[in-house]
Amino acid sequence: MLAGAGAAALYAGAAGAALEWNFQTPATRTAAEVNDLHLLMMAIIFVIFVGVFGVMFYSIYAHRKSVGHKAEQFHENTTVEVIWTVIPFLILIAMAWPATRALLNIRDTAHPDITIKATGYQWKWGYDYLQGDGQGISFYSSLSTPRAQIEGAEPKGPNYLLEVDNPVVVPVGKKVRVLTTANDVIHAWYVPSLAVKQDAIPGFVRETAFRAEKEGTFRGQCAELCGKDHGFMPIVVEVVSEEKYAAWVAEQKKKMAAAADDPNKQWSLPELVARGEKVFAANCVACHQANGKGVPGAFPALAGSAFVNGPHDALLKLLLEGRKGTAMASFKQLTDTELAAVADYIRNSWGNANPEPVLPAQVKAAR
Amino acid sequence: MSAVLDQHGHEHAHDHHPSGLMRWVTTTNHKDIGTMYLWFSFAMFIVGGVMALVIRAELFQPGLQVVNPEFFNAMTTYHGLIMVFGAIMPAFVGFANWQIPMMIGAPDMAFPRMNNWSFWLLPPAATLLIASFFMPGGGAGVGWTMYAPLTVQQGPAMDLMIFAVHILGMSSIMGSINIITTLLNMRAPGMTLMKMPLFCWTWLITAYLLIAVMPVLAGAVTMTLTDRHFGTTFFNAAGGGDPVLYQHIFWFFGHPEVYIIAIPAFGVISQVIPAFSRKPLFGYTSMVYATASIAILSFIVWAHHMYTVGMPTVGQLYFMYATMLIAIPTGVKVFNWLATMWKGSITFETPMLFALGFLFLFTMGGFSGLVLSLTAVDVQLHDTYYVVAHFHYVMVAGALFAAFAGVYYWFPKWTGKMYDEKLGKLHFWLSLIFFNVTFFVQHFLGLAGMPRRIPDYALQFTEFNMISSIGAFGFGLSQVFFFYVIVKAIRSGEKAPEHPWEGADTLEWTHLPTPAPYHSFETPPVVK
Amino acid sequence: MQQEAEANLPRVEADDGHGFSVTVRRNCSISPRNACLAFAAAAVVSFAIGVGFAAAGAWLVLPFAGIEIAALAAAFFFHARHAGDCESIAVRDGRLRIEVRRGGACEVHEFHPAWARLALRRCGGELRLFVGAHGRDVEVGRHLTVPARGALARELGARLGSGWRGLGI
Repeated sequence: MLAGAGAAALYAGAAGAALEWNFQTPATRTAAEVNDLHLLMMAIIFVIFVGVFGVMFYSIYAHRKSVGHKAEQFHENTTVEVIWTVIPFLILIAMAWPATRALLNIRDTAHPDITIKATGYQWKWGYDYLQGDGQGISFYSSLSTPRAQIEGAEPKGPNYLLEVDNPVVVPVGKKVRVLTTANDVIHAWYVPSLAVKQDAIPGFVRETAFRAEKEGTFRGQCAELCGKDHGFMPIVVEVVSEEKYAAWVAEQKKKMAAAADDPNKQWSLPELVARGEKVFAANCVACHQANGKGVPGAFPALAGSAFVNGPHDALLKLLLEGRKGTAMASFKQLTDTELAAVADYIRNSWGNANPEPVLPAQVKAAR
Repeated sequence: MSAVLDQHGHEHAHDHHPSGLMRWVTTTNHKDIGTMYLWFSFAMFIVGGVMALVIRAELFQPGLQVVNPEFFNAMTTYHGLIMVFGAIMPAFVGFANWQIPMMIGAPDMAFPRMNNWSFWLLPPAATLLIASFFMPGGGAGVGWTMYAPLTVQQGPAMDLMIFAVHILGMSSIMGSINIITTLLNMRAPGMTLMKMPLFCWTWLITAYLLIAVMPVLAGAVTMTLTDRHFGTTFFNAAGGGDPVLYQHIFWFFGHPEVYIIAIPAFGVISQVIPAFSRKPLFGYTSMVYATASIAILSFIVWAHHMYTVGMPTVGQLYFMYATMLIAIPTGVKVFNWLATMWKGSITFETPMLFALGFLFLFTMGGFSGLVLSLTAVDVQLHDTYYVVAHFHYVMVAGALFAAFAGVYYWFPKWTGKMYDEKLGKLHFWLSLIFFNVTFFVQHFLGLAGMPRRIPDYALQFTEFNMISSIGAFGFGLSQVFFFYVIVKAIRSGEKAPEHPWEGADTLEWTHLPTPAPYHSFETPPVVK
Repeated sequence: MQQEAEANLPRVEADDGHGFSVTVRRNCSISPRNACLAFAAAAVVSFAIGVGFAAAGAWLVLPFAGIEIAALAAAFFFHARHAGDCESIAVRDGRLRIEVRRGGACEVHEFHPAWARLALRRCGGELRLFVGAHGRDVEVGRHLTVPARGALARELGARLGSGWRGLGI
């Protein structure tokens, strides 16, 4: 094992690339503890490795028939058997102590400074700041790597597949509790250098916590298979100084106030369609595709669809409730305006034409 | 009494078996059925292997080049299911069919006709599984673990997959009932339980494990089916169910399943190592107890596959301690094998090479298992490539290498031909090297945080993925070479000597000619 | 376990000068009691698991456990029906009495010892042992290994006196 590691290290040196072959640099005390526990374990394993395989290779070398070794016929030795049962047991007991301590530290989610709810969607994350500074902030965080990079049409950026439009921002040195849940299927919120990985289970809330010790951007990914774009829903956590965090909170609050739709606003169809295009790009395009043609056999086409162009009540019902047994989830978490806008967008794109707009009030009524 | 007299001078009726395809369809002979199991498993191994190569081709470099993400997910799913249920399990049932009657001095399995059925359920199940690929919406991309509620979203492929799992389960149950009845009732006079070859012991324990957990799997997939179509909400929080319940059920089956695969492999290794060390197995009794302890422990550690679902900390601690305990009986087995070799007179024919490869790499898999048993570390490594590396060390270098060892070891007894020793050894070295090239680097990927089951990855994972993909193609080609070695030996191999392995001392070597006759031990031998 | 194995070899019982009996059992390597235990072990575990999951809300495991245990029970029962197969050969009060039990059925044949003949015949490459008189033949020693069958033949031959000469070997 060591030889392999050594070879890999040499290779990394030669290539000069950021070749990662061990845990990412820890950014929390628990991550450092996990790192140490793993190192300790590797040391123990190394000793056992040398002992066990030393015996094995000595036996292979010395007790060969080709060097004329005659087989002895012993087949039992109670003393030896007791020894090699008891020694591993003692080693395990010795290991159990640091392992237990590390686990208890990882599981300690009490007394957080900030609580954030992370909701897994197919295929993006939604964050709600529930408690502490920044309470009330809420946004979605989707992959920002352009499709062209994935398909190889453009060179890949340095943070390929590990970059999002809206990162989670937290202050350094504060204990952040993350509540995980999901909207559709099970996801997992995983940031290696913070030593957090917690499944996000639809209908349940689970929790994990971290206290970042240094500023920086830490990147992770969804770690539980959640369907088609499981590999394309990264997590980015930006740890910033308290001042920067306060500034970020203020900016977010301002943005949210600006973005909040005036409930009394009278929308025109072009306005709704323009707004709907953004909603579609953030929520629907992964399955139904930018050309509205879907993926034959898996995700239905919207262009020319009788259902989409039919009565809007049924369409709104589908958007609000999803369709059981398919990947079409409920989108009731979107606002009335967003749902109306996306309905208008799909009813007036790719050749679909329905001049009578679906209005936010109708969505409100349909809820 | 005339009925008895009428048989005089006649040939045995069952010597007239139909020829051609019908011979294989209707056969109740344990040797024929064993052969069919082995060939079926090899065919599935190739199918599953091609899927693995599709996965590795896609992961050769970052970006989406070969397949789209839906197809990629289907590939990981079917690769897992086919390798576990189609390749490895049937391979060891094939060994059981060939070897158990010969090793205990019985004429055949206890229920030969049921034996025929349990094999012939497999091809329809495999057909269903592969047919599900061509359903509208394509294959199900849910992983071999089939976690709810992702399964509820899938198309009709999921239903076919569930039926296929049911049929495979039925086949396994029938096989286990047959094996248990045979081993308990049909041992030759003098062959007490504690004189059975260890391979038979491991299968007795495995069959009991199968009996215990197969209904659990059947229940799990049936509940998935009813959640999909009949409005139940076992795994749906909206109706009062719990998605995590599915995982508990699945892993209650799934962890023993790991040992269902590994324990017969231990059995094969426990025959091969003494034979080529020319020395009796060290600590036979403790081997039996260690195997039984592993089997029992396998029922109380299932949730170590679920450290990230958010169990109470007390639960995590319990499962961590229980999991660490498994290291003890597993260690005992490894030490016993080493002590068997110690002061033996060792030769290194192909079966022994594979057994040594098994011993070395399985122990490595044990080491990474030990790392994963520590909950705090596992939380980091769960669902990353570290886990993928770990279980391939146990499944491929463990079970598959043991199966290779068994095939080479019993090949002369089965066919009366000798394989080409040079080619066999080449197959071993190719497999060993490419296996490590493929999977050793995946430990690094996992440590650095690459999740499993993703079709595309961040740039820092590029080099190791590339190495791994190269290794995978090498490993795949090595198995095509294995096919060549075996077919060459069957068609034009040299005639095997009566006792090709001087250290082999079980009944099939000591009491039967080589190759073993079509009907053996019609009256039982007496074992001293 | 050792006793179970030895029980398969013919043993002369109750040789008190007036008569004797020999019982030959089928090779069955497990006693009925142990067979019940082996079955119970599997059944109890499977049911316990099924009931456990039913209690956790996943009741669909239990019916599968039930079907499977029924199949296992059928297999054990089917095999056990033949576990008691035996032949007992007794000479008492001037009669040679052969009882053959097969799967619950029992056939009884009686001969006059003076007329009974033993015959070892080679059928399909195997030596088989028959006792007969007046054109009726009964096969005995079916559950024995070939050497044990020879031993039985010598034992019977010695005790039937005249019959030994009819052996033709």
